[in-house]
Amino acid sequence: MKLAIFFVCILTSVLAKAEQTAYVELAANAMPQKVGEERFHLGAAEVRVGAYVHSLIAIELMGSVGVMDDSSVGLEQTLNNGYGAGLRFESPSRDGTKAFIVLGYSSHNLELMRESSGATLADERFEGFAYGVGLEQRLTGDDAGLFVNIRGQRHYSSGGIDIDSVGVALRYAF
Amino acid sequence: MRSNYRSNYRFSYRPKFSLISCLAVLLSVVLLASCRNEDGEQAFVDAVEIAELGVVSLQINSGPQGLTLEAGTSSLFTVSATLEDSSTIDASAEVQWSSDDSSVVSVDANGLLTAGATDGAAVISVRWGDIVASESVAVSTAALSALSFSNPPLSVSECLPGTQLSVAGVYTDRTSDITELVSSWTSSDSSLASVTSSGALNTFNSGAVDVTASYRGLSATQNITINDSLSALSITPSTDFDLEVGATQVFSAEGTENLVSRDVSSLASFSSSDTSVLTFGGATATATSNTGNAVVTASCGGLSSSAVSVSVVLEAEPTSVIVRYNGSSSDPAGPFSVSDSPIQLNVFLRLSNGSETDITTSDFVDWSVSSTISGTAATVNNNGSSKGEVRFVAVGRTEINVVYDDSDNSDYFEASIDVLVE
Repeated sequence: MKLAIFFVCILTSVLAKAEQTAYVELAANAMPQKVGEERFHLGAAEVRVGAYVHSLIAIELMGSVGVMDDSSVGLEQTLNNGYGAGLRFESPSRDGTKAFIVLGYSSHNLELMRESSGATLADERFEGFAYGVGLEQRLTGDDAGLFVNIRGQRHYSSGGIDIDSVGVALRYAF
Repeated sequence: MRSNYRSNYRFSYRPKFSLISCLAVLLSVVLLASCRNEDGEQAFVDAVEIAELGVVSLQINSGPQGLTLEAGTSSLFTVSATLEDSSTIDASAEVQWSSDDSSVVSVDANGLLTAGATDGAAVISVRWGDIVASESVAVSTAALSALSFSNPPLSVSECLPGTQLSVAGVYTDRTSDITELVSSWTSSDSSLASVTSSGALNTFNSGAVDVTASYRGLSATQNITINDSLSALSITPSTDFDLEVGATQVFSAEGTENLVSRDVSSLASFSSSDTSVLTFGGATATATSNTGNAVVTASCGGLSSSAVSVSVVLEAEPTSVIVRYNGSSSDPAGPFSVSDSPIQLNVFLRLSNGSETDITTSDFVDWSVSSTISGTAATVNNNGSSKGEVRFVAVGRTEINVVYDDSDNSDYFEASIDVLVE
């Protein structure tokens, strides 16, 4: 929570400076998750807001909720929520296309239940360093306006738990 | 235009602010990179594992002392998991152990319970995911008054490993198994039998032996008769063979009792007639650096096996390569006549002991055409499993060359053969 407040402060400071550009993204993510030898395929909706601190660097906040659960070996996995923040480093645009990498922090709350009884076996938050890559295409003829991008991220990988996401997002830059 | 404006604007706009922001974010990321939820990871992994296995319940299994431990002693407990199909598995390494009163009974991660110094009781619990089991374990300071063997074997077969002996402790308030507490085991005749530190009896030859168990100044002695029960003893390999210097060969021994064979390798004594040529460590024979012959036999239960002769020989060295086709070879180099394309040539590595090994497709082998002597040249394949395949489309005479180059062992040989297409 302290970190989220920290990022909000930075983002507010950035946005407070006139003429900084900002953006908002709505994303649909597939979230492959591995626990031991089992794989779960969750779905999530995600909102991202960001502001540029440099022509090719943006600071970004994200929040997500699970929209699709998955079951395996009699267990049901649910993504309750997720949030995070990070830096987005972009390549120069070429014919409206640019690549980017994302480095930051993310936190996801996952719940594991018995499918038969609904009893919760584990309800845990996994947080830490997150990183990813993406590709973005401008849809309108200007830097402001609509973009579409795809992004793959690794949010957590430790102790037999992997949390990843692959998604497509529609972006509006102000 | 907007793009240029933005780029120019940003590069000149408060660059220090951007740098500070980026550094602050990166520093935060680095600090948070070490965040791990180890308990959460374990909870998820355990939940999935017990679901995969179909675990429905856990049972705590006490050690030999049972559920009452002598004060100050330790006892290893185990855990069984019952699965959906009613089978059971050992879950001792999977569960988390805990005690509700560690001053009375403490437990480590392996299930080793240690009793405190005073009377009392504690509840020992195990947890695997959301499945738990508990057992009450008591600690007693009652005095130990005597030891006795429990259900001792009155007679056992000769050359028989691992007959487990059990000892009971007679306390003022109970009698319980204290096999795991026995501090020393002795055999009155080590040529007949020995006892391991855990109380397993190994017999060698027939006769009678006294086994004594001791604990806390008390002891119990049991006389055990070892029967002359083996009728035959054999070893494997059972036929004479060659062994290169420095090489090893594991032997096994089999005894026959009442027409039934059983492995006695762990107790049989293997011997070599010439230890300057062949030595034994247990059932493993090792050839020394000397060449020669040694006769191997095994003995157990007063029996000796038939002898096997082992010749220790020098390691065979590669001496040359030879190319062969349909009875022709590169020694002499030919030529030999062919008419139907393709043909398959093979190359063999010749060893100093006279044997040959087909190395046609070896990675160490390179096939090539060294020269066209006349007419149209043939071609030779040097790839994968097709190495050595010669193709031709017209008459001619071609010299095929093959090189064997094993630089790791400094082995380099060449051979050539003339193919005459008519």
